[in-house]
Amino acid sequence: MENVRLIIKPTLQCNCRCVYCFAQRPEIPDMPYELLEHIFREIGRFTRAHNIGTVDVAWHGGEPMLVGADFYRKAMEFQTRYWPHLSANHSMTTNLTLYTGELRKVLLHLFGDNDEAFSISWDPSHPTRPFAGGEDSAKATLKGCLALKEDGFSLRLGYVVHKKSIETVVDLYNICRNLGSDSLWVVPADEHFAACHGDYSLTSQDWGVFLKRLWETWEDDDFGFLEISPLGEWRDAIIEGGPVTNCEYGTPWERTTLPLSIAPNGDLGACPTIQDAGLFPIGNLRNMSIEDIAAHRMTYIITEKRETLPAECLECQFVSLCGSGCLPTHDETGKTAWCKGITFFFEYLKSRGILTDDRLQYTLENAEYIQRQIRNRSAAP
Amino acid sequence: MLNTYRDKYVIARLPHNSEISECLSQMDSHRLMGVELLSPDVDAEALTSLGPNVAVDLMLRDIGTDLTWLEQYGQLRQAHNVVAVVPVVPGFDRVVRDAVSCGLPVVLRIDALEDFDCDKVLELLDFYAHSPGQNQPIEFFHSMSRAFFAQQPITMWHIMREDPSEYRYVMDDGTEVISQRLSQLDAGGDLAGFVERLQDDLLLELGECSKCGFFRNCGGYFKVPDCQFQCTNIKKIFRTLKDKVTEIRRDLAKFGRS
Repeated sequence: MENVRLIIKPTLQCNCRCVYCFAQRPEIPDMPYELLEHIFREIGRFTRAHNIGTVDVAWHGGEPMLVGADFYRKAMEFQTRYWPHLSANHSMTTNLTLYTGELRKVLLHLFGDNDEAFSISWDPSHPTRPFAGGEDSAKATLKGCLALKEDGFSLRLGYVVHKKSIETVVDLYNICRNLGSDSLWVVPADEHFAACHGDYSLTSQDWGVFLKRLWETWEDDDFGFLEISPLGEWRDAIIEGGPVTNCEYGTPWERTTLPLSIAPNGDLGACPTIQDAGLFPIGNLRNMSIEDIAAHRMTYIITEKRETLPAECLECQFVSLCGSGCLPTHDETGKTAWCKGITFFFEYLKSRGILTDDRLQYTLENAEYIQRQIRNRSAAP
Repeated sequence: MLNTYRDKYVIARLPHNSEISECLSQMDSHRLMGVELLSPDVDAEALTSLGPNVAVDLMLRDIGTDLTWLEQYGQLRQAHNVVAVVPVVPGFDRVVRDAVSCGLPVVLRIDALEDFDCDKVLELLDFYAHSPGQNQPIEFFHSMSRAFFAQQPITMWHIMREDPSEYRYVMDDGTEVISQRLSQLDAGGDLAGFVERLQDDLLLELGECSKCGFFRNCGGYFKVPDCQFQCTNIKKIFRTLKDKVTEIRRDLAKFGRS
C-alpha cells in the first residue's frame, strides 16, 4: 500500500434541497468526535506500519460545513496528535454558502497549503439548488466564491447538468470564466436515483447535446482559461494518445491506493458517490481494522468493474475514452446509462475530424487495462 | 501642483507652450512619462526640450481639427511617441484616418456611450484590420486584439489608463478621480480597489456582465457611470475583434503547418 485517500463525511445533512440530489439521507447523527479521533488514530497506526508518508483527506457530505468550526479544530488537534509522521492534503466538496466567520478562519488554517482545496457545487442559471427554506442558494455560493478568492484559493466549480442546462451552456461557461474559476467539472443529473424529475429530467441524448455545446463554447474560447472535466481529459487523450486520466472514464485506480469513504456513523464505501447511492457497502470502521478494509473486495470495486468491462463495451470504438463510465451509472449489463449521449458526443468529434480512427486506435493501444481484457477475451476458449 | 507628485510618474496636461518648460523645471525628467496637449496652440517646436521617451498625446477634443496639426506632429514621431486621442463623436472616423495617414497611432475614446455610432466604429475596425498600408495601432482595438490573442485578462480600464490602481486623474483643484469622464463618480471607497469592487458587484448581480464572454477583458468598463447601460453594440465590436483574432490564429496555424 502506497497511498491512502480518505473521504470523510462528517454529516449527511445539507442546508440545500437540490432538485437532482440522489443522496440518501438517513436520520443518523453527525460524526461524533470519538469516531473522528478513531479515524485519525487508526490511519496513523496503519500508515506508520506500512511506511506511508502522505494521506489525502477529502471532506464531503451532506454539506460538510454544517458541522461548524469546532469540528475542524478537533480534526486539526487529532492530526497533530496522531499524524506527526504524515503529510496530509485536505480538500472539501461544498456548496460554500457557510464559508464565513470563524469557520472560514479555521478552514483557511486547515486547508491553507492547498490552493485547490475546495470543489464547489452550484447552479448559477437555474433555481435547482434552493435552501431548505426555499430561497435559491446561487448568490450565497457566489459570495462564498468571492471570499474564497480573497483567501487565495482557486475556484474549482462543479455543475450538475439537467435538462434546462442545455439552453444555458454559454452562460454557464462565461459565468465560471468571469468568476476567475480555474476548472469546471460537469456531471449528468442522474434520475436513476430518484430525484431529478419533470422539467429538469435529463436523457442520455441530452447529456450528449450538452457535451457538444460545451465543447463548442470552449473551442470558441480557444480552450483557454478554464479546465473542463471530462472534456479536458478526453481532449488530452485524443491529442496525446491517452490514456484518459479521470475517475469516471479513466484508467482504474491502482490497488496500491486505499480509497475509503466514511459516513458519520462509520459506514464504509469505496467512493462517496457509490455510498450516497447505497451501493457496494464495505462494513463499519468501528468493527473493522484498516487492514481488514484494505483486504476487502468491495474496497476495490471501482477497479474491479473497470477491469471486467462488458463485451459490448470492449467492442465499442470509444471504449478507451469512456471506460464504461462511472460505476453508479451502470445498468444491469455493466454499461453506463449515459452511453448513448457519450457516443453521440464522440461521433460529433469524429464528424469534425477532431477524433479520427488513427487517434482512437492510438488511445486504445495506450489503454493497457483494456488491452489486457481484449487479450484475455481472445484467449478464452 | 506637480511638486505634490514629485515621487510619482506623471503624465502632464498642457494647455499652453509656456507650461512645458515650467513642467520640466518642477519634475525629475525621468518621472515625466508623457504630456497631454490639450490645444493645437501648442507648438511642436516647444517639445524639443522633452526627452525622447516622453509620450505626447494630442487630445483632439475638436473633431474639426486642422489636418496640418496632425501633419506637424506626425513629423515628430521619430523623436517622440506621439498619439492622437480621438473622441468617438460624429466625424471621428475621418480624423482617425487622417491621423493614421500622418503616421500617428490613435486612441479612441468612447465617452458618450448612448450616442456613439457603432457601425462607424465597426467600419474603422475593418479599416484597422484589413486596410493595406495601415500599420498604426488604433486603441482599444490593438491592445484588445493582443489580449485576445495571448488570452490575457487585460481590461479596458488598463488600456484606457483609467484603472485607479495604476492611474489617477488629478483635477485642476487637486482632487484625485478615476478619470476625466468619471470625475463626478462616487467611487464608494478607496480608489485603488474601485475596479475590483465594481467587478465583484457586477458578478454578484448574475446579470449581463456575469454571462458576458468579454467581461474578463472589459472589466465592467462600460457599466460605469450607468450600470443600466446595455452592451449590445459594445459586444458586436468585441465579437468582431475576437473573430479577427481567430482568423489570424488560424492563418498562423496554416502557415505553421505548410
